[in-house]
Amino acid sequence: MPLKALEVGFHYYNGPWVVSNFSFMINPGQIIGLYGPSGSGKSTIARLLAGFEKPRAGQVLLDGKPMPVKGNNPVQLVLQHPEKAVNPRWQLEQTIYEGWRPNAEIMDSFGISNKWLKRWPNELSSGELQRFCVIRALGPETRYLIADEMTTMLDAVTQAQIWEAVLRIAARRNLGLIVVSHEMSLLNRFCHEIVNLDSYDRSGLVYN
Amino acid sequence: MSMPGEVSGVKTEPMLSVRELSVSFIQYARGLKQQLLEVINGLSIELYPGEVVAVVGSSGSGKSLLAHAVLGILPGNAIVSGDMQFGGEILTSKRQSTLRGTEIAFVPQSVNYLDPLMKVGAQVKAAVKQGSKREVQQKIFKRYHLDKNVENLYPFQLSGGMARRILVAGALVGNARLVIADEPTPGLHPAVVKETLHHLRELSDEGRAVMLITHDIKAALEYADRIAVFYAGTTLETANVADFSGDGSDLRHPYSKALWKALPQNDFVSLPGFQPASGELPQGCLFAPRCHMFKDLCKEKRPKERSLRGGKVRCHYAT
Ligand SMILES: Nc1ncnc2c1ncn2[C@@H]1O[C@H](COP(=O)(O)OP(=O)(O)OP(=O)(O)O)[C@@H](O)[C@H]1O
Ligand code: SF4
Ligand SMILES: [Mg+2]
Repeated sequence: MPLKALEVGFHYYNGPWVVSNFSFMINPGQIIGLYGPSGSGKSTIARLLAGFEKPRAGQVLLDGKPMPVKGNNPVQLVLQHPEKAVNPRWQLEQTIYEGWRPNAEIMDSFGISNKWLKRWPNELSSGELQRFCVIRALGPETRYLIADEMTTMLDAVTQAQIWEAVLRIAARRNLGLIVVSHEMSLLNRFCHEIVNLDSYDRSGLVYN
Repeated sequence: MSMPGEVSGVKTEPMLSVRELSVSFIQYARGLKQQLLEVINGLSIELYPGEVVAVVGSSGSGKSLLAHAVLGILPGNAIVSGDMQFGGEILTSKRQSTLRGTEIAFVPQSVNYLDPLMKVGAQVKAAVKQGSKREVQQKIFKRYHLDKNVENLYPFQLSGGMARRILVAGALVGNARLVIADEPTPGLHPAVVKETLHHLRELSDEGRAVMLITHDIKAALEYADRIAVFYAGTTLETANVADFSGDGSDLRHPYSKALWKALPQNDFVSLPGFQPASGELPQGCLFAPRCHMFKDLCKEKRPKERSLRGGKVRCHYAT
């Protein structure tokens, strides 16, 4: 079941077009990089592909159909800033178990200490919290993972480690990965293909 | 190259000096049992006027908490010990609250620090200490490519990048002598990243001191004078910028070398295992469980910080 964007265009309110005429396709098992500086519309594309925004032109299709509205979204999005993505009034345990129950092996491969489960989000560092968000997105119903600057807030050693774990899980479950980053050297490490948004024609530069 | 604290041969006093800082959290376990969780231990760092010191290292190593400790904004269940001085005088909590936002500016890592109930233009204006508040605020908005109409927005109406720029603008608009910036740039447009780092450099060149906490080692190398490498609540190494080059052999600590090698533009290799969680620290060297140079002594004795090749290191065997 491919995930497709067909001539998609988007603008916020009555602002300028931030994405225009964007077409894209990914199949299960594929790893595609989306490269571009901030402001090149790559986060907006990530949101469109995950069904968080409705395109103003064109369409996004999963398996030939519009994105399902009910149930767990098979297209999961992980953003750069974890503190905006979790409920501050939930202990981490509740945040993660809301979606699914990862086994100990998965928790270990992301270096999650059992003691953290009882903590509140503001009692963890950004990088520790982000690892919860990554696991949360890897539930059994996930078919595609969109990683929007997912490891930008991690140190290089942990970044390499998290990607090892994500790539292993993606290969085992035949997930499709869309890796959004401003860092070409990261994308070059494991993407099968890289879409360079700098080369897309955009009118009006937006400082995101 | 001159040593830190030496301006054309004359030794100056550090602007900020932190010695043997420890931070622990009181945690209430089952049955009202109290537990102390040590998150920073034996940490020392100095910042001199005119320099940018980058703080890099493991996530969860205490970088943000060091910043919060200096500012005096740790949560109520934190216990702090050690010695912190600003401008040669002890930082008491009373002094911290007068210095915060005036002499010491802070760019927080989380955008949740913006006041949700106040328009962002007013938040930045409130931080202006000299001159016409309105003019200074408008000037800094321009510098950070923030449209005029953004003034009237509330934090929830901002994109992530806009919120970050407001935090930076609000912190740098004042007249602080010490600026602590915790991950100020990720997710910003390259032009704004450059502007921010350039601005920090400019401030230090005017004789202020800047602590730049970042995972972006490339940026640190471009704008900082020295680099402190954090791990598990302490500094494992303080290096000069030039030591981060080639295969990393000029670095002193095995963790710093691993950090350098793990960059995607270098080898993208990780290390086995993870940083020990606070409360589960090994008795000897904090890095011992992941170190390939490990010997018996490392397990028994925690290495003290020592000077080595113009920098500092905390390892028994570093050469
Ligand atoms: N309120 C708290 N209670 C208990 N532990 C805490 C609390 N706040 C932070 N910690 C722990 O203290 C350690 C240091 O956290 P800190 O936020 O300073 O890390 P950091 O170096 O800034 O990491 P990052 O690079 O991910 O931002 C972490 O292991 C974190 O889990
Ligand atoms: S003290 Fe021993 S374990 Fe620690 S970094 Fe040095 S060699 Fe490795
Ligand atoms: Mg932090």
